[in-house]
Amino acid sequence: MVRYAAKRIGLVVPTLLGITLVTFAMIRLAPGDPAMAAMSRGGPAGMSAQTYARLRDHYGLDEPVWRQYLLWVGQVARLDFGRSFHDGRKVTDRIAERLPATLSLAGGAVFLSLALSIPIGLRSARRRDGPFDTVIGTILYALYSVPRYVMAMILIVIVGVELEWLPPYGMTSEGYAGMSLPGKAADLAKHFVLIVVCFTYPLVAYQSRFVRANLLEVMGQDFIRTARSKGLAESKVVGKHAMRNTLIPLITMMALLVPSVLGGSVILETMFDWPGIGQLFFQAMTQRDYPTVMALSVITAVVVLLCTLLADLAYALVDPRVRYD
Amino acid sequence: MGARLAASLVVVLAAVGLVAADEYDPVRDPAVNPPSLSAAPPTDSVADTIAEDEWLVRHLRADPATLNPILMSSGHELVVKEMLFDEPVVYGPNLEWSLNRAMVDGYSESDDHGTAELRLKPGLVWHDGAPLTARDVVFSWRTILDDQVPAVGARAGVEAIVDCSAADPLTVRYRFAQPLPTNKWSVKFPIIPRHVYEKGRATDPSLTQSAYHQQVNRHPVGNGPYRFLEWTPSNRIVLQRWDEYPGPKPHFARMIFRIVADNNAALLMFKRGELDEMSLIPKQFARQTQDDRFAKVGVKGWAEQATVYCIGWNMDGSNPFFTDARVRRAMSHALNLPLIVEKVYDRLFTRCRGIFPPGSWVYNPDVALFQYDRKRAADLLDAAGWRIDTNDGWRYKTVRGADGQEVRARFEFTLSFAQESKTSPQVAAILQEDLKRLGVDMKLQALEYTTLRGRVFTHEFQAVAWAWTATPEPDDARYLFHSDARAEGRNFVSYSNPEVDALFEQARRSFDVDERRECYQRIARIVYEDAPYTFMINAPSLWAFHKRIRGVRFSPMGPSGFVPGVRDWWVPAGEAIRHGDGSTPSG
Amino acid sequence: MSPAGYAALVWRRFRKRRQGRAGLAVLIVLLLIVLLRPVLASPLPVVCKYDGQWHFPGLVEVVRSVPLVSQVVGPSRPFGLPSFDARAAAEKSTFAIKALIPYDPLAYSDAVLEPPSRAHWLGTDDVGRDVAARLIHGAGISLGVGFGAMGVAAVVGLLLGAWAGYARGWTDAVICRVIEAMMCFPAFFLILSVMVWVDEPGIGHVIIVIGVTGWTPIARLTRGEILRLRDSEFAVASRALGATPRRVVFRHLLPNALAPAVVTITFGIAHVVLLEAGLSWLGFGAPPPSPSWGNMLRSAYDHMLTAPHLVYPPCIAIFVTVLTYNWIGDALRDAVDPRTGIAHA
Repeated sequence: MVRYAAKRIGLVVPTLLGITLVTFAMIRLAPGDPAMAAMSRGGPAGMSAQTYARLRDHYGLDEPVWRQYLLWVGQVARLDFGRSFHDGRKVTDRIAERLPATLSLAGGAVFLSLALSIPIGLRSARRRDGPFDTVIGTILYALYSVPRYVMAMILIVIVGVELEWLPPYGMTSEGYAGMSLPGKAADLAKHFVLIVVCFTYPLVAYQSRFVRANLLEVMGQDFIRTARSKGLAESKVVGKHAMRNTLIPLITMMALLVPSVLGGSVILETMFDWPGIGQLFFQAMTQRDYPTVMALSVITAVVVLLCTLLADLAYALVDPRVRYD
Repeated sequence: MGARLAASLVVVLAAVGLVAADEYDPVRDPAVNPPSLSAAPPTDSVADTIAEDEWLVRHLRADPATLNPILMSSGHELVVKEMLFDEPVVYGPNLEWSLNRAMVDGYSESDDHGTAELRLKPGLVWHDGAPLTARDVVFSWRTILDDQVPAVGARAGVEAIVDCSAADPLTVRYRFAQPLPTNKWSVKFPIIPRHVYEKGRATDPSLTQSAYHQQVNRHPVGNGPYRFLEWTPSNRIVLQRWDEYPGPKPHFARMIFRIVADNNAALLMFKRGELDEMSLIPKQFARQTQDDRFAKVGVKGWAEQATVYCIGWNMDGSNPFFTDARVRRAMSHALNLPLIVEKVYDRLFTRCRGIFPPGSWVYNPDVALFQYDRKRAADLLDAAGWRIDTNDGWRYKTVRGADGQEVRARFEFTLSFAQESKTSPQVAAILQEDLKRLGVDMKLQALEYTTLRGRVFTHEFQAVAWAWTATPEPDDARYLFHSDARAEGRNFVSYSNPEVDALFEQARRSFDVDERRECYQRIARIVYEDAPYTFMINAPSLWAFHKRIRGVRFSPMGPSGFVPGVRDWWVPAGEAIRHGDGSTPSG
Repeated sequence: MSPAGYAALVWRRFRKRRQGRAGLAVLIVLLLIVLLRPVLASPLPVVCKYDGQWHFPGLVEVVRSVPLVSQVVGPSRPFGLPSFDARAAAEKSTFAIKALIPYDPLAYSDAVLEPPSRAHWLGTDDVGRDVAARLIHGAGISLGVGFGAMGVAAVVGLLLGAWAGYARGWTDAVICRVIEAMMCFPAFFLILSVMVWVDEPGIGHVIIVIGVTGWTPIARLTRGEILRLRDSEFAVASRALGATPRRVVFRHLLPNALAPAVVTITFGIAHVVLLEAGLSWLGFGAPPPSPSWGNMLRSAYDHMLTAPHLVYPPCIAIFVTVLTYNWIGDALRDAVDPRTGIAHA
């Protein structure tokens, strides 16, 4: 087991290097460069061939690409992600300041979706095609097929604007700094509701179907029948034997969720004026802010690699039939 | 299930009272340009009637990259800059060249226009109390022209000054490369405090990389009517009125810039009274501000602006179509502009008469507009040799290919536009349909903005939907239309007309205002007729203001960016809503 | 059991499920709409007598819309000519059977943002195009993107996943590294960054990019299942009986590992339809003015407060399509998987 874990961790390094290489190549091959982006910000008045040449020099773009890559790798090895081409700040500062918004959102959505989808999936599977399964299934199908941003728009307009139940944008209200601690917490919570709902409902739909499908599959297997024939209580069969085997694919899927939660949120973050990582990634991409894009890819990659690593190890732990060699 | 969901949606939306609007006419909209918006502040017994403690919350669409004025380039950065930094020369209400009387006693050019002298007011200081002298101006000039400093926006024009020196602490002397009427504009550049920036230059000559420069660029020491208080990235920038400001003091004790990226979110905030001003997109102005919620808090400002929307035709010979002026004119005739103005831009925009905007002193009102006329376009295309093949209905012409061989070319080209644009796809779809009827196959290509810029800059396009905002100095159009600007400047379509070149040169060297005006008006007419671009429309300033705000005037660049501009905005004492503590009224 | 026998078994089980029948019926209707769109929504008449001659422009277009046929069959002249005004001609015709919705999905008019009426059943959009016509022509794009992209993803994902899970060792390690590397990058950004440097953005690129970036979840799940199943009794038994690895994988392991993959794929198709809408929202989807449902939603979003009638058609269309895939997928899952099927029966 330990050897397996060590081997898996050892494999992370080449993967990581591969990711950075591909990302570096991809963003460098994209048409336009940071000098062009900086110039276009200046409007037509700033655009001239000399300005362009000067800016390219300023950003160090005239070095050979492989050299730039090696320089970057060397920097990152010392845990220095460099400074943003956009505003010259430390890339790590720019990311750190947006991390709370994204992490709290992702955490909230993942927690909420699991808390809802596992019981729903369990119940649907146990009373398959019963009234609960049919009704919930139909509702979830329906929800899943409404694009997040249409849902967001509807919620913003109705709940946020017309009914004024909840603030439809931002993380905090005006005058947040002057609030008491519970006041701050309540204010934050209010701002969370709508965007978390928009984030969560497709996850619930997806995950609960997933849990249901896997439970049904597991329930058909021999060892469950054996357990049943031994006279175990149904709740125990489902809760202990079936659930444990359903957890395996679910763990894998949770790991897969991380990048989509981190990255798939550009539209929602824009609509809700939510200062998260998604927006930063998108802006950095359009500004050709190479250091920021690279840092974000590395950080996302590390997080995902960690999650998949954990999932793999969990596989090994939960299912004794998976061998470690 | 689908029907049920639809039905419930209909019910919900109908319940909240959302109904399709009728045709919009800004002239009949009571919320547009009410007299109160532009009301001048009362001059007598000032203290009683103006709410001098009021706070102003303004909309900013993105975080500035820096608050160092010589490194700034984007429009939203300049909005913050003008509050923090005062310059010796500023734009007047019509964007005319004018001296900033808060800082400057006088400016004079030598008789041969080769040198100039600027006299600063005595006793000027920076926000930190350090004296502001001619040496700061010289330092700023030198820094802007330093090749290691990535000054993009500030550098344009300053290159005309070959030498700048401090004759004494209050006198700046400039020497110009050539005696030109445009030299006075080159004196208009931002100044930065020497005592702050001199310190870090030795270790970081670019003024951007070191921790020290990061600190001062994000916590600027300025000399403007407001001083810097705090900046929460992607949230807000807060400025405080500077009591020692030597000029007339603005009427708001505090100015808060709220950073909101999404226009829809910003409008929602505005309707909730959380923003005091924001710029609107046409659809918002015409259709999303007609409700009671908006009427309760806001009014709208609508004014001419020097922004030109156009379609550029690449005529550098890389395609067989647009080197022929008749083809370009045919394109201009094929564009259904009356419909576009009425339906896409809701009558808020006006048709454009070429390179100079209506507010400009060189505007030529006599330019005859291209009429939407498909028949005329077809005749022009026929005359240019592009004839319809009756077999498939598309136009063809035999042209000489790159290798000298004659080939039969189909009239088929690609129009590129920025995919972020909301209206370009509509305009493009309209043109595409009209061209199809003419037997011309236009493909559409939505490109990400930076990519599009890169393509245009390197002339790698066939046709492009483009826009620019004209500066008040007509000579700047030289960089767009002079044949010399094809390689080095911004003549992206590779337009070349010796007559236009000569007129630009003549106007550039003349100090006779009437002669210059005549030159530019002739240029405007020739360029419009040559149609290197199909000039579509002049985009106006579209703005929303909280209804308590008075004293707003528009320049051709919008309600700010000139003097007095925002410095004249005020709120009557009885209508103040944000007293000192920053609380917003609930409900 | 022979592959044909297995398929017949699957089909019998599939037919038993109500959702499967309903889903299949809707899918067939959608496919018919895609196939018949030239006679459903087009300014061209289906049949007409014009200048004393009989023309069948609509029918010719139906034939031409079959892939590759347009290379052989030319358009119906003069109706197919770009400069020919089919609507005006239709009025002059002495006899004409018009299309159900006699509008071109691309032709603008000055009737902008009109609510539904007799003339325009679903209203008009922001340049006066008929929404119903666009919706019908958009069906082809949205279905094509969904099928195409997930088809690419499914083939790549199933094969690589099965290969990795069965072969193990170095093959597994390499494939896993590739999968990990791909999944580490948020899919949306992977797509965006590829779309940025695609030279001529087009629907084909959208399909390939989504497909090529979307196979990893399928591969990972398949690998996990194969890994789990390869030591199960029946796999061990068939290996002991001398079956080739290919036979073991394709006959025994893959069908048994298919259940979670099919769920993923069907949800995946639905997801692609939504993804295309999201990409269009950011301007990276099907290039305008093509009437993809995503593009329609994007312009609907801009006018949502003032012209809500634009929102429902693409929303409902997407909704119905997604629901269809989900029904079919669920029914298929139960049919494919012998164990749950047997347990149920």
